[in-house]
Amino acid sequence: MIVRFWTQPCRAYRNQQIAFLILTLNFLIPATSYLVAPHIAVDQIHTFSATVGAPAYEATEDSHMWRFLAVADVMTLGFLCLLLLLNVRRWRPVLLPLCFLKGSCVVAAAYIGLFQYRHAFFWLPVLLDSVTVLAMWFFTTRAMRQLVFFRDDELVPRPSFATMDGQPMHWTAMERRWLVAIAEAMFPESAPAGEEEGAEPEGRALERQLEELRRGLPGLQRLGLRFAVALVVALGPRAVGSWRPFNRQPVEQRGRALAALGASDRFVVREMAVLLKMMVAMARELDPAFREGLGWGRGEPVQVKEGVPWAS
Amino acid sequence: MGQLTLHVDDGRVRALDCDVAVVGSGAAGAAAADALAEAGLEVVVVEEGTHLPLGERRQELLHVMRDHFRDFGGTPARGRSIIPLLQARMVGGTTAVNAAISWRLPEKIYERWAGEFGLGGAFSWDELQDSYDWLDRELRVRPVPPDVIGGNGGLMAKGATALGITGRIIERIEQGCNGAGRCLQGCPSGAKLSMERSLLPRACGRGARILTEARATRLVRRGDRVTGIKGRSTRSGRPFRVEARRGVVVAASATGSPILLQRSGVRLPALGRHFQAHPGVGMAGLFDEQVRPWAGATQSWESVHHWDQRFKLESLGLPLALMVARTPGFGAELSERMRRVGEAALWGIQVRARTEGTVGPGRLGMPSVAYDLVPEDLATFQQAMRVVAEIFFAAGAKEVWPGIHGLPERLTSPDQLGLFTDGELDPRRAHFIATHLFGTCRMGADPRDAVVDERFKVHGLDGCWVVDSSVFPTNLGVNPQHTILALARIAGQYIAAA
Repeated sequence: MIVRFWTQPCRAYRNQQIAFLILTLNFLIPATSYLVAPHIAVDQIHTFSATVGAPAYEATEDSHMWRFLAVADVMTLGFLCLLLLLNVRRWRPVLLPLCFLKGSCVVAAAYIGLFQYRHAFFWLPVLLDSVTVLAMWFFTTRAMRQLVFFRDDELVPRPSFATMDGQPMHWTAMERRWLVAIAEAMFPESAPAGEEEGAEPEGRALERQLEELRRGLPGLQRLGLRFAVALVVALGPRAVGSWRPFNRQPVEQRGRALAALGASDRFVVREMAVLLKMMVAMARELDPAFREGLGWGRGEPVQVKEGVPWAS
Repeated sequence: MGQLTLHVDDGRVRALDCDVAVVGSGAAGAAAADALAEAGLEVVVVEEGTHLPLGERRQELLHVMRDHFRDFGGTPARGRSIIPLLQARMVGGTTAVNAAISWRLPEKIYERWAGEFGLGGAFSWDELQDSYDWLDRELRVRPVPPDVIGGNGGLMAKGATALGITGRIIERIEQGCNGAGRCLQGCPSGAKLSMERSLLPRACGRGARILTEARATRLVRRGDRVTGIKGRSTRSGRPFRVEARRGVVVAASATGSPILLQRSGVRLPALGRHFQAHPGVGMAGLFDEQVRPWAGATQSWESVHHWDQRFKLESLGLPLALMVARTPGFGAELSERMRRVGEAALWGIQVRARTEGTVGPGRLGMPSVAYDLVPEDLATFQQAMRVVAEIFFAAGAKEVWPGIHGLPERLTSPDQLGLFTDGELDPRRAHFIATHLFGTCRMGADPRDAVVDERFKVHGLDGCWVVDSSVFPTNLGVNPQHTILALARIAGQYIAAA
């Protein structure tokens, strides 16, 4: 495991994992210590002051106030780092709040410690926290740039919260039902699949085609499809004056909802409806019976010319 | 001679060396590689995409877009609307998924390049014509044979002729087309002589090698001299390196080439600027007769009658899923119309746009392209759409589907043509796409206003040339593949002689 980890192709991911393991422990352990043994932190301040020859640290730290504030703050930092450790691709958006939170520590330490209390100890959090913010940003962005080229199953350790097919964003069962509901309404009674004996029932064939579509889409387009589905499901019922959930509407009503959204004056709404039309068509096109049902592509068989023209 | 020599970069290929490395295997990369190999140089072509052999070519749009188009065919150009840029990512580049239309550089455009941009010394008109003549012979340029013109193109010709609009049967690079109507998915019969079927095997027959699934990420520089390429396998993620003794030819398209140079530390004011294109739209119409839009050549008839109005018209066969997207309606209404899809025709407009944009590295591995159609171009689109609708009605269409939000979904009478030119067109109301991209590494003598000099060499760098359509100072108004091939061949000859 350690050898596989060290020699994995994506070095930036490896480095990010090491950095964030250290950072996570660096936050979770002190947060626990503030909770159960606050004197350790205070003793460290005294030890540091004595070591660097600074004046005695005389501020009282006996209050309970700083303890729960510190526990909450540092535990949050640790939790955010843990998310980036477990799946940097999925939880990348937490980088910004993480850096903001830690950056606030730098500003607060400088303002309170260096400008108000004027004690040398506060140089330590200012410097260390600044380096920490830079490290968080550096290792995460560097890893993200390289992860474009890698699937989840090529990474050691494999990112958590990822589905088995390596897709970083798992679709819920509800979202899948929504997509099926949209697809059914997009082309009602369009394909003759299932009419022949032994043929796959239409509903199941549609689900399989949509699953192939979902898996076949690159990440950004999959995200776009997800957004479009959510938008249509959220706005569709009201577009036809109903409060009933989209997937519980009759097929004809869903079709009317799609048409209303496709005619919307709002650019994004209109585009999402058109996007879904194309996506569903791409899924249905995978089924030869659908193409045949529309009469598409009936023509002479294509004769393959092997080799290249000059070869002969 | 005659077979591709491919190295799939599965992580085992870590370093190659050669005389010249070529980034990109599309029209420009293939023509340059062929000319260089012909001159006896050892060439390695680095291609990010895969090779798509005959027999593995599928017609379903999902597979085609995912496996062979850059960013699923949707590299977005951002403006008030989002315009997808269609570019392939495979051996042969976009030539493998276009309709192989052949046009020589219009003389008016050449005169503008020579006069306004001072490129007369770069390549003479005669030199260019010699290059075209050679390509015409090698790539079997010929008009679409009568038996595969198809109903789509035939009706367009009929309608245009009735209105006195001149046009022609499209000339293409192919040999033995049987009208499968699947140029955009990769010709299933191998009749289209796209680069992986023509100049690349020719170059490989002279010793060139193609490294596939390999993305060039940076040029290797020693001071101001380029000595190779660094990159990563798109399959294994492992880095690779190509050492090039003579230098590197960049032919990664008008979006890829400037980004590669920018990532390699090239800082020239014009780099990534002056991005131009031929934005286009498609318009469909419904007839009372069988058109069979899937049958026949994907594109078979065209018109540059409106050259002075800056637009060109073409018949255009689309894959089923895109045809659905262009069909009005949803639900039962859409199903009803799709049942008559065999009676629908679709024609395209491409505009010689004045709009300029910028290209730079973006997030998520996609280029960042800014391109917002200027009012003059939008007015051109309005005029062009009106003309296309007029041709539809003249050809006997019962319905025209404009595909513009705010207009009726179906026009049923020529009396409604005025709707196209009423008021100003908001770009968010139509679905544009952009193909044929130019200008981001444009050619010129002055490094303050150009990226490459008259010998295609990047200003201020030795051993680095750009040979694709990014060096064109303007768009052309006609399909650029033949001109890209001709100029890249000339560039290859310059480089070999340098």
